Amino acid sequence: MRRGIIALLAAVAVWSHGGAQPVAAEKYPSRPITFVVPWGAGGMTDVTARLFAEKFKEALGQPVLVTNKPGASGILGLKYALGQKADGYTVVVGPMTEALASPYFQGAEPYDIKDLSFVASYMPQERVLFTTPDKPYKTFQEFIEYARKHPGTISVGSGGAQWALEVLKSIAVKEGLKMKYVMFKSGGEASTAILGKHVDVCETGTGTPAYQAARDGKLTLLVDLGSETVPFFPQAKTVKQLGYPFSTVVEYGLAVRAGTPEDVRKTLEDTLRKVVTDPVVKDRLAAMGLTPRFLDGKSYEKLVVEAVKSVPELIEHNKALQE
Amino acid sequence: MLDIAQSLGAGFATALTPLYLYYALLGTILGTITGVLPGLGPLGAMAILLGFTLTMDPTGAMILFAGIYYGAMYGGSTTSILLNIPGEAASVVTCIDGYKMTQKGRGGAALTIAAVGSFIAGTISILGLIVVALFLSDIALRFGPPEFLAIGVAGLILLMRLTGGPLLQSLIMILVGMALATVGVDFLTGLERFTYGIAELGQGLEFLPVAMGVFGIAEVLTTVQDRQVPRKVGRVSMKELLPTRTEWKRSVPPMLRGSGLGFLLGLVPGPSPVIATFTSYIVEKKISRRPEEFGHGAIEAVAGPEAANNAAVGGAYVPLFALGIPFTPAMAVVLGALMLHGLTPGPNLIRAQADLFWAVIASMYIGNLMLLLLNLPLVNVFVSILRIPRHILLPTIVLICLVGVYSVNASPLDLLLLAIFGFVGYVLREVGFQPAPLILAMVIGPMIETSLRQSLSITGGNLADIVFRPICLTMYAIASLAFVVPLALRWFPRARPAAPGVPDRAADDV
Amino acid sequence: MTATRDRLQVAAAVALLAFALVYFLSALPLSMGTPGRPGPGLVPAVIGGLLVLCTSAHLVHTLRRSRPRPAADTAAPARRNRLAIVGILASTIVYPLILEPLKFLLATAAVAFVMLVLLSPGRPIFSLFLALGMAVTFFVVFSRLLGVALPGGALEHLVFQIVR
Repeated sequence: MRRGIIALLAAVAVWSHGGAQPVAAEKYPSRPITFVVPWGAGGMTDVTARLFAEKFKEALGQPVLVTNKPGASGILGLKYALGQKADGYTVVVGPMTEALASPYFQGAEPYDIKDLSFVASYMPQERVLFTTPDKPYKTFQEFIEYARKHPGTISVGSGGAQWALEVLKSIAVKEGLKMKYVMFKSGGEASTAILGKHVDVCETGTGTPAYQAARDGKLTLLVDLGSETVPFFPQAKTVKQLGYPFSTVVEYGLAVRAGTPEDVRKTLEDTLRKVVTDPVVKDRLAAMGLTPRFLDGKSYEKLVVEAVKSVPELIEHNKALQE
Repeated sequence: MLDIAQSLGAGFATALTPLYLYYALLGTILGTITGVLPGLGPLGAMAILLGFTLTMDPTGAMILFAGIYYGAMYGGSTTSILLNIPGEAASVVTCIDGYKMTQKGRGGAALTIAAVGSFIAGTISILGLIVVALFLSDIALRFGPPEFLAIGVAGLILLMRLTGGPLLQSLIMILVGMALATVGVDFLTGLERFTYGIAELGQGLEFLPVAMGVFGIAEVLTTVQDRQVPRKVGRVSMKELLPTRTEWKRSVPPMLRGSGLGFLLGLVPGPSPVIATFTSYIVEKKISRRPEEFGHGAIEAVAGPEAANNAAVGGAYVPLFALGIPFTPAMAVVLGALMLHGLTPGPNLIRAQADLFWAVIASMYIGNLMLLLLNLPLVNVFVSILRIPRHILLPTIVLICLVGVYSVNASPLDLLLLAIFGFVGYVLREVGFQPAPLILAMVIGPMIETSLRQSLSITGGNLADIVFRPICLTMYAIASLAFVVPLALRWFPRARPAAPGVPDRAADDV
Repeated sequence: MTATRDRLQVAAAVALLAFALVYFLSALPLSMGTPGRPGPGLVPAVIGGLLVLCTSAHLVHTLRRSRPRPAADTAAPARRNRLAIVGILASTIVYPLILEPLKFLLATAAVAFVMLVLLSPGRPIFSLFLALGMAVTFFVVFSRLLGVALPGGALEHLVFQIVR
């Protein structure tokens, strides 16, 4: 009796898998798509991914489910997505720059970029350095001067971005500064620390509470650690403009596993282009202090490869600080 | 004062329009479902609905989310009380005595008390929310790493006194919990710790699989082992569902104390709702005239912590509204929803979006009322779960744990952890260890480590700078008093003779 | 307290000490850092050290306490229940392994079926239908109602369409 049931179960298993083939051969997408977010719920990546999920659903006529796979600065989520079938039904969303750079900071095996097929990117994000208005320094130059005269007194916070913190350290190496570095888990926690004056200066991304407070004049923006422009702060200088060799690049986008059929990748790329240029989406993101910008898969890949190339150099450069 | 009343009145007028009432009802129902099913929780439910709120106006979205949030808090205690499965960290303490009440056939009463306690706590915390958001908006900013450290350490000291067993056993459980919490990538340096080359361990041991393992699965294993004839719940009359007069009388003061305590601790960012629950438990045990009943189904131990938990989560809205800073992942999703609607969160939100703020406050209250009315009849439905024959109920519990854990991260590793910790929890229980401190230390441990290292970095390693701060000193003083006083009383036993008939627990302590 | 109980006590105390030692030894290679720049090994080393102390004390305490006692006769009925315990544990361990290949509905139904048969032997047909019913119910609640992404194939797609 029991053996019969097992046979029945096996038969059903075969049927369910045999039946899957014709479905997959249908026009993409014929079943729900999953967005893998390698960061936690409620973060910048998560919010944008869920906004796009809704818009992708409207455009493609299939539900788009979002699943969070946070941990190890995006590595775990990426690894998970790369472990799924290369059929375009698993799409990883987030700043690929970060996910691909983090193995270097963690001393882990770096990613082979060939495992990934870039769909397209949708926005850059700047990492910026803030301070409170009661400090004697109001510009980045004044800050450097002050830090030089007061070695070991200034505490520098970071909103969870190792890359940005290393860029700050590279400046300290160049200028011979001695400062205290404090890492926070997220932009939100770092924002509290700087708004509550628990650290002297602090680095977070655009769109965080600290950034919003700076828009209200409650914090002073010292410098842009990235390489683009800071929305609502047209006068902000980037570290590269000030003559420092390293900067951090954060570019949000979509990717799938290499080997995904090109027409499937293209469908996703075209959909993202449509979504990013949608005036409603543009408005929403702009109000958050973000600037949507579409780059196709090729340009995105080029940008990521270029940016991540500087990371091993940056780490080598900062070794001087450890001694 | 008058314009506050006026604004609140306008808020109620807005919140009572049919559409917003519908959103509030929808939210509370969805929240109750996610709360009752362990796993997903309000965070997951809100995240999933984030895209859906695009079609609503911001007020509607906020009302829906507030409903989900409060609904999940109401529902969260159900599985803790009936099945010994804590769906979230804040329900762990409820398991201790809540499940014991179920075993004694008072599960219905415990659920009713939990619902009423939640309602009282909700009411008090909404009032507190108004006051604090308007007048003390920057209170959360006064907490830097040294202050978090103080709260964490104070919480840890209290945790040692949570369960009545030998102190050494509690200490071992706490240390094991803290040790487990250090597994994974250290976010301060990005280095992997204790992963032994297993990549999936990089994200750390999740709280949920461990908690559902040592409570839910372990409970199933223990039940299977005891080959007693399954206790038939049979037909439960209304009288048995409702708390008795004595139970009511014993519950109301703990509810009020728990609400106050919970709201105050809830203003502190981080895992404070969890600390609030066991602080309330310890307070009730200390001032109770029947401390020996704690751990064996004392109604106060359900009423106090449940109220504290619900009041504390209300406090989480304060920094969100007042500062635009989310301190819990669930609040981050609420913030995300605000941002998606083009509202810039931050200090100006309450003034610039006064209509929204007051309508949401009003709808929170309406939502709480709806939840009370929804939950009281549901007690009957939930208790009937216990009428399911044991050989069907136990597999169902295991499936709830499996699917619940899977629904959070879709991680096979989490499922494996569930099984391992199910076995660990079963053995620990067999040898007389209490698992609650282990689970709670997993929540507080990371807070202590993070804030300790951040504090040391900020002060350049100066311990005096970390300890001698007003908030910190207060915390340390309170915690040491709570710890030292019982010890001192033991050394001078004649100063306060033990009540007759109460076994001297202190003698067991090592 | 029976002799088996005592043996279990000692075994658990030894296991705890072993855990403590493994943890402590794994923590030592991590950098402790300096007071002004604490490393990732500082807190684990402290936890590990305390844990070794406490678990050693516990083991000594347990050994001193456990003395041979007249064993009560509880061994006989334990056998079949041990089967149930092992079965349930095995089900939870196997579940993640079969979830991806078999997809949600079949994997869940299979695990449910095994547990049901273990706890109420002699009613395989009833158990089979009950297991299938449970799997579908869980799928509908989590996937349709709550929108969770569960591993799915054609069968899941079918159910998804039916309850749409």
